[in-house]
Amino acid sequence: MELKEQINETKKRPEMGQAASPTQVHEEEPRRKIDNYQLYRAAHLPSTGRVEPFLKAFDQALNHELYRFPLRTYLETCAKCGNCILQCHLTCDDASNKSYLPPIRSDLLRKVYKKRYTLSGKLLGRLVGAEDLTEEMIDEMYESFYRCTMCRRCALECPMGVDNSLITRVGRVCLSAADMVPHNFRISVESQLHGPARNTSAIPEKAFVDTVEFLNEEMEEMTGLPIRFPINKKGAEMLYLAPVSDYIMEADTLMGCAMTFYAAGADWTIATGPASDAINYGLFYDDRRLQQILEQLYEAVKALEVKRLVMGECGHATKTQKIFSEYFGGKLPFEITTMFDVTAEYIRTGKIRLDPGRNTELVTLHDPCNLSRMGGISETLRFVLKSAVSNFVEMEPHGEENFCCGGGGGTVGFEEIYDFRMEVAGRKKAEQLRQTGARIVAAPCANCKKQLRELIDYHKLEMEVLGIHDLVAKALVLGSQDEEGPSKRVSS
Amino acid sequence: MTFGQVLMGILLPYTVLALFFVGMTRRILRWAREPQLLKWTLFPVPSSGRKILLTIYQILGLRPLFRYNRGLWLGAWLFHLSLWAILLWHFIRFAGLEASFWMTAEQWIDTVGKWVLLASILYLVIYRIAVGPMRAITGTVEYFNLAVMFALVITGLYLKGNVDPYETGIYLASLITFSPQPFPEDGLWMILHWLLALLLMAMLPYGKMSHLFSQFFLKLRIDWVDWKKKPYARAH
Repeated sequence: MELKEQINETKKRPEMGQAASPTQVHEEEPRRKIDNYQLYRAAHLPSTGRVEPFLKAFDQALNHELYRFPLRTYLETCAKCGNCILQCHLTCDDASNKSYLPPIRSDLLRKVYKKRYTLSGKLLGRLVGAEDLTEEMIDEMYESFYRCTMCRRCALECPMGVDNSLITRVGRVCLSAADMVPHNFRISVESQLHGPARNTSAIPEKAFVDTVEFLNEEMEEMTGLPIRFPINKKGAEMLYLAPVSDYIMEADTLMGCAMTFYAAGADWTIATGPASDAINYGLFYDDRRLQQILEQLYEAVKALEVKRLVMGECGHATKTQKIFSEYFGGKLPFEITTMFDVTAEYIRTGKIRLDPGRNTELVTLHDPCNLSRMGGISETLRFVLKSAVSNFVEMEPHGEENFCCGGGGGTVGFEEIYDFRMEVAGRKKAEQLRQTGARIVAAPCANCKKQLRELIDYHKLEMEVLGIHDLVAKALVLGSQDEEGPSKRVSS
Repeated sequence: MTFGQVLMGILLPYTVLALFFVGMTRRILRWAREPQLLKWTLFPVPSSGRKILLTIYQILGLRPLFRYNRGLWLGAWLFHLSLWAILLWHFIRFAGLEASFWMTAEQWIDTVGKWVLLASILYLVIYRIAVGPMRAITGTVEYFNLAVMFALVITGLYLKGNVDPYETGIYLASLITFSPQPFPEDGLWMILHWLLALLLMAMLPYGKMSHLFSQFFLKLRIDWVDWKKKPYARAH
């Protein structure tokens, strides 16, 4: 393509974060491969004119009040001690692919930073690890930044306090500005922001309500009690917000939460429309989308006039609220908390009673990175789970030091790199699971649940994956007549 | 004073000192003042007392490396320890400290410290070359920094015994008091050692060696800011 054409092509490109349609389709493989897997799909992605929008977004990120301090410092002060290699689930056992090494990945952006922002980089170029951004580098970044699950385990033990995950995140934001967005994100966010149903799975409102009614019938059948999901109850104390995918994939978790609310006599509701879906894929690649999704959510929550927004079993959605709610949402007229905190409060205050004797199989806990390492609620997770089961074993390592499931950072939705998630990213987690000898792994995150189920199937482990509230529901003592509990009738 | 003495003794050192202090002050002010809006906490957040302990452990023991990579830790710890010791040795020698405590320290560092520093630099170079992933992540800059350190030690070793510490001490004191005396005429090795020391000082605030200070700001202003103590979003 001639330079003039390239410039014209670039001019057609949107501002950072704006919706865009793919323009130039090119060869089926990226110009730089990093391994035998491939996220790149030529049909959905542009091939040229990406450098300028990428750099513009990078400049914006480097000067953005949110990122300026940490991002610049991370880019400037990595001493290449390699401690992160020993922490990362991709490289701790097998560091043979150098593209997976966290400093090599971060260097993709660091090279560009040095070239544009440092005197030594401008004067000495490659000699000091500085390079001009090229289309080939963008192809490499697209693969590399979507191999990192942004779990932040590397940051936990970095002697310099450097966090490669933020570099990955900003790298993804810049890629997004160059229209390099994984197909899954593109269609899910489009559906959430502009689709008629306003949720990532494009579930129409009627189907959503039908599903909820079906769950109501299920709960009544299981317990003999009139347990219901209240829908759009204005002025309720709490709005329960789960990822909408739970209504398709995780019925037991949802029912567990509903039963918990029922047992505690809570005033709660779920909602249709934007407040039916906790998912915010903007977290993984685009601040503008992140903000838009939060805004439409908060508008819907405000309209319901609830006092508390209760996040369901979802790691990234909870992290989004924790990190960005005040910045993008401003002063909100409601509090934001998690279902784990609510259930723990019910247990502590005696509002609900659990009988751990109803869950006798050996259970282990997978700490979602977004909840334990970034949410600081690993003790709460344990308190709730241990209150509901009688036979518990810790995974090693666990808590804040736990390894990522291998599907974090939104990558669990990428069927294009399923083999990578099973063979590389999930390898460590499969080994951890096997070593526990547990029959059940409790995974309080929709993302982790999917990845763990696929891992268990792929690595032929004798386990099943449940949510914490699946187990809470089984242990819940619902009334004086409830001697055997709902577990007798729940098939799990 | 000859032009060479002015250049080596006045122009270069004051330029480098200016670069060092301006660069370091700007960076430290930036790290301390930049908006702290991103709630990028890493849990568990230690208690205040533990923060102090962890910081001391980090400074004195390079905690994460000790925990996870004893091979690298050995070289890195000895390197940092002996580097600080050698700096102290310079101070004792050129400040003319004569109390027995200082004299003992000087002798120890003189006998052991300099060789430990040299050995640890070589160890780190070999480690970076020999261990596959380390070789992959090590760039020209890392080797260059180690090469500068190595050359500093080699020139320093040669100078020991060939330089009058009293005269050098007077010169250094005159620099600090902004009344510069002529640069000591101790030949090419002294000039090389001096230039390398100035180069190191000039690079420190602008490159990755600034981790000396940045790590604490990153811990205190990012990782250890416990946003959990506030609700995720307060009700208003």
